[in-house]
Amino acid sequence: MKRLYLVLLCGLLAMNLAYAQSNNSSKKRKKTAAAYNKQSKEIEKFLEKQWWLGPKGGINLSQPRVEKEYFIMAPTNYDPSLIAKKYDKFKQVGSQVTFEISFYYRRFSFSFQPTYQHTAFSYSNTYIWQGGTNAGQLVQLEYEQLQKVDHLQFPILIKYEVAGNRLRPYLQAGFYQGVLLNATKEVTISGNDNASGGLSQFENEPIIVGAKDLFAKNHWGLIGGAGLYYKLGNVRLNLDMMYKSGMSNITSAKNRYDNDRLSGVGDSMDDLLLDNITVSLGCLFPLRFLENSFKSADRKK
Amino acid sequence: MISRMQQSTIRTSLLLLLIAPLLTMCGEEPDPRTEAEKFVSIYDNNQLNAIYFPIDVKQTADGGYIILAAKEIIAPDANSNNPNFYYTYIIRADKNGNFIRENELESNYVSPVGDLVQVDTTFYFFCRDVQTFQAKMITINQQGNLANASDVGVTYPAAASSSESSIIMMGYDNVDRKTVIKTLSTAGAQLQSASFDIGPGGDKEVEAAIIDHFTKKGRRLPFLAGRIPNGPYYFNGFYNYSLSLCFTSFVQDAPPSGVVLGQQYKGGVSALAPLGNNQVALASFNFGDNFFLPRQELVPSVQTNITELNPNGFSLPELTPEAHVKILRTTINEKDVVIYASTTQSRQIGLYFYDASTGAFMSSRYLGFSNPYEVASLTPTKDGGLAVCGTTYVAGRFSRICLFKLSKGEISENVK
Repeated sequence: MKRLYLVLLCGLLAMNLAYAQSNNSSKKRKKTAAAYNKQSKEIEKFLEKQWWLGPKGGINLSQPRVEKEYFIMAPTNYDPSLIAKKYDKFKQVGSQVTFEISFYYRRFSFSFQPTYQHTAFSYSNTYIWQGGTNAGQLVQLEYEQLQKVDHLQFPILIKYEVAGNRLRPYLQAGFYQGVLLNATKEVTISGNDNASGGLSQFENEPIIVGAKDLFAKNHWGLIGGAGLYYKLGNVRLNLDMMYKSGMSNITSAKNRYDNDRLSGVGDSMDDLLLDNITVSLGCLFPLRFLENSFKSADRKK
Repeated sequence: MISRMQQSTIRTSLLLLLIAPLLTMCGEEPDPRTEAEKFVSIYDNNQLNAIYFPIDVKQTADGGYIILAAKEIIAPDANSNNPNFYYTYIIRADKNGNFIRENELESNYVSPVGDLVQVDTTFYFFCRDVQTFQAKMITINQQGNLANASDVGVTYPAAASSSESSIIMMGYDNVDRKTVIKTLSTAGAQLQSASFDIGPGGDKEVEAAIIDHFTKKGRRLPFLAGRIPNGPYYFNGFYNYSLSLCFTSFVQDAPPSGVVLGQQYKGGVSALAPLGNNQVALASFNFGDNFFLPRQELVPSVQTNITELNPNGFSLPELTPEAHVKILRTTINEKDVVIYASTTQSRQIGLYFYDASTGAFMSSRYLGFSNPYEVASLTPTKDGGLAVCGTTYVAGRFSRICLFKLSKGEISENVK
């Protein structure tokens, strides 16, 4: 929730700056128009390039892809698939904050977007023991496992602005490098106990542990996406959508069994690739505007 | 206004920022070769009324594991004429601890005892015939399958180990009320044998304790059998009405050459590993308390009482009363190390590392959290690591066999 507040705060700040620049630029409109007329060729050439900087933030949803399953519980008389982990798909909401640096040249932008990303994903597995001395004796346990992982990501993207002037849709593709910052795991065990003479439903207090060692220090992935720029004065408001496809394992194979509390309850992380859908809102400011009398906004067509 | 030089600096800095992550772009890919270095496995059965009692673990030639255990299915109709025994149960796991197969031996082979002895590539252990009470020496192959079962000529096998290519076993003769120690060939032929009176009371209280031990409905007694390298044989069994550590060279009708007398079965030796030069690593118990004596002088002709040795040791109040203890002497990081394995009051498996040459404590490590864990046995692995076998109570209630594999790097941290 605190992270959402932070994202909202960044958005409001961006809007405020955009409004201020808009007012400022309207006062100088007449003056710069004359300069435009005089130096139209230079302007055209100048506006072919631009540096854009600015923050953006939003939410993300994740889905792990299992590369290889690992079990601590090794069934001796039943099918291991009965206790396999069931992963939730794009269910847990995370958040991210990005500072974007883009270099624009003739509709193409080369963009570097260092991002703090908080990701969450979950899985569950079920165990059943039955066949006691009385018919109907059964114990069923449900293990709910929630992972929260913080990464610093370094995406590098190529953007292509498809069309438009004030409203500019774009496509983007690239890759990212993720560096692990922090991780926690939360295990909640609930179940039905019908082995002691009657049915008893229970849910234990969750086990919450720091799990940074269980995740890979680095991982990388590919990015595809689309977005929209909206010109507001000298700045651009930005709606950005990305699909990040993990290309390397996000869990640490070396430390898979290092957390004794989790191993103790039979949990070990699978080898996972993490896919991620992110939606962000942001605002970009021109850099070259600072040294020229030109308008930072794109040239009129 | 930013000058052209400043602008150039900004651009260069930004380009460096862009390139830097490219230079470090990588991920941590799992290496299948390292999967066997460290793992935890819990071998689960989905029967509510199945109870497992692991005894020993050994590594196979292919790097996998064989676990000897006892298994009981709770039978509410058991009675003295039709008692419910622990059957012999073997698990074969691969080098990563993954379950390969289980092998429940014929139902007439009950009450298996360790050690799981390895001679060359074959494994041996003892169990009891459910009808005749006679001890059987069971031979199993590398896959954990029954290869042979031979009669040993004693009832109630209690402990076993190996000496070079022969097998040492100790049993309780319930007819003559004697403790018996034998050496056997791998084919099951008797090489040497000696028996010792368990003394007055042997027909009542002592035998009751022995029966409770075998049926696992009472206290687990620390029976041992082995040999001081190039020296006499020893056993930890009932002698002179006490659970005593006795030394013998199989001289017919002669009493033990040396004795560490216990206090009935309330005090005595709980584990032993010879260190050479009349030194042993010893664990003892006394009315519930536990002591580790990692370097204790013990001449095989000794005549003493356990209460005289206990003050030389370290008391361990953190262990369960009269704790089951296993001692492994091994080499880690080129250091001669003695590892004690036992069960703590908090139901974790505690590993205690001592310098074998000085008896100095080096460090400890605890295995198993969240659910209760109890140690059964430990064995060194070919990769320089350690395999620790025990019992865990899944969901706090179902006793299941667990296997911890610790990497060489991990245990090296314990002997710095």
